[in-house]
Amino acid sequence: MSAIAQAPGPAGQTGQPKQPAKATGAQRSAGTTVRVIRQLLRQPAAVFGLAIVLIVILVAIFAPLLTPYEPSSIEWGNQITPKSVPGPSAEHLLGLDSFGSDLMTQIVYGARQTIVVGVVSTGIGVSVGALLGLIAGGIGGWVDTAIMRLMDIMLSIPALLLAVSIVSLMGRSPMAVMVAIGVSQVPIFTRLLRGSLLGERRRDYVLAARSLGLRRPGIVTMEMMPNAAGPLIVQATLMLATAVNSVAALSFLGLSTSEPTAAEWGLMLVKAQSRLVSSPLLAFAPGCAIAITALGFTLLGEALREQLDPKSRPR
Amino acid sequence: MSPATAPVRTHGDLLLSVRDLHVTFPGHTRKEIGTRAVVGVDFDVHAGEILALVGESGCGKSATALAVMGLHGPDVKITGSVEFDGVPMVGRPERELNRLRGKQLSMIFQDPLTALNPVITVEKQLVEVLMRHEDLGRKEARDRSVDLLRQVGIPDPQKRIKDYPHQLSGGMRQRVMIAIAMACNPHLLIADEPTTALDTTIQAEILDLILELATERAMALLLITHDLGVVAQTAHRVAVMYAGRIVEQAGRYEIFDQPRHRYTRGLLKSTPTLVGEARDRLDTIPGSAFDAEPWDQGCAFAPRCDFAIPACQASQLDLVPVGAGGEHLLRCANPAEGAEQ
Repeated sequence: MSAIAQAPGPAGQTGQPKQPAKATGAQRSAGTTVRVIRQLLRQPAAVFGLAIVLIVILVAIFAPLLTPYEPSSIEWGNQITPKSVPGPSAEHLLGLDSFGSDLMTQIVYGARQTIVVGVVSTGIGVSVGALLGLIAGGIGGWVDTAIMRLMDIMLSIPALLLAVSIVSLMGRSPMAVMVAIGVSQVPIFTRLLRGSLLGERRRDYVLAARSLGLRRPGIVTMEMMPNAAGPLIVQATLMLATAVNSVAALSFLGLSTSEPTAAEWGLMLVKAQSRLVSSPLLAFAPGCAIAITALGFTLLGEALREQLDPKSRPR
Repeated sequence: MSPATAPVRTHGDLLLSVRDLHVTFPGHTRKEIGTRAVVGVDFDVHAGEILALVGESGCGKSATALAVMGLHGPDVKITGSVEFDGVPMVGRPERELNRLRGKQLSMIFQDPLTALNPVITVEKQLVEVLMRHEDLGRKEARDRSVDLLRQVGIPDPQKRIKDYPHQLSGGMRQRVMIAIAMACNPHLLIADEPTTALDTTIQAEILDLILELATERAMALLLITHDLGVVAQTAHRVAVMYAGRIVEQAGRYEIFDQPRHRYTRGLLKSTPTLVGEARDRLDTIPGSAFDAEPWDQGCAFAPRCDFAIPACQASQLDLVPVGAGGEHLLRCANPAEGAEQ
């Protein structure tokens, strides 16, 4: 399909015949996915991004195996003095935080909260956004106008402000944070899918489908949607990076929980503020965790975009 | 397949009747009149008949076809009448049109690569149509699809049916397109330049296939083309279009042996041929067919015509029968004589 597909793979992949053997039916139907993944693995940035994302996910899943302590345990509270906290030691790899919890444990469990909240909120954003975009782009007319004006209004409010207002309406809880971040993402996905559906509308296969008497809802969902969904996948991956930041931001603002010892990267930053000079590690560790996770999703998303969007494909 | 649902139609019954069809594409501004693609077209297609609609690009062939199918967008203005099987198509609600399209009349497009959905397998595209119009379960529809692919000459249909369009060659893709269009045995098949996007080597094959299937199923065929070679092989009758109107219409042999309209003659002369004396250069028709308001001042072809006379500009030119039999229709103020060429 493109020059990239023909390019010789890295040394590790030799030994394979250059042309893949005749694929069977089952393999062929997954052809596009396989091709995209294969090409992704040839880009160092994509592999790096994917590695980060996988590591963060694995850490989140296996958090209890990675650390012997409980995240909210403050059993070492007596070692905390107003002037200093104990630094790294054999028992506490990253030392303790200002409440006397193990910093490493907090980081590890924080990955859980970040991934769960990030994925769920982006899931809300994609599904609600795609549904609205499908309705707007598929039906058109006044429905389209109404939905898109609503989205314009939502977009005119800064995403964080919108999220903060939603949390304050719903009350502090992780659920509220997920809904808040998800809702603030909705207009982005709606506009994306609608635009991409409008672009599909003029394509010949739509005319051909109409010439066969297929009904409009069927054409939109079965024929146009699969063609229009590519950008949605890319954007969702990129929005995960934004969501990671938003999760941290909302918990930094103290909106996700009222539990001061909860393992949340944003909350850890807040607690580190007062000891920024004496114990910079307290801020540095969660800060790095946030940045690296967001970077991973961004790299992966950008690489996906390059693969799925022919316009940005190199050469 | 399902003869019980459709009335048995005898060869020669009037199937499609187009009268005074106008198609106007919207202008860029509200004041602008827009492009008049079709400016009063009349023709009939009878059951089992092959009518070729011939003309150069932009003469309104495809706009006519889309109007017959009712596929123009809502911003395109269509007037006149199109009656399919006695029922008017223009202004008919989409819901009713959808019941007819794909079932009673269907269409083959020029470029199968763009007309087939790139992300859906051949199987799904076929099954979708069959399940829409025929009372079939998924499994039956699948079996019928394999059957159809076999009928259009696709080798190993069991396997190819799982393919995506981009995995097939150009000729195979057009065969798939044909299979889809013919899936429900329509009474009328519109083929819009079915071989233009294909390799020269397979054009004849595809054309033969369409003819064979159409004849076998007693389907009427409205063949739209600019390729007179295609016409010579296939059509029963030929209608030559120029600037949105039919200028000459006659039986196949009549058109090739005794063309009366100067434009038809020009077209025939500008077609390469392997027989007869070799010429260095093909004849061309000078000028181009662009005209914002065709037929408002007499014949639209007059500015390009070597034989234009004052009458061409003045008179209201109608499509009138010439010669015996009334089958040969002509819209020309100064036609060529039947014999000379």
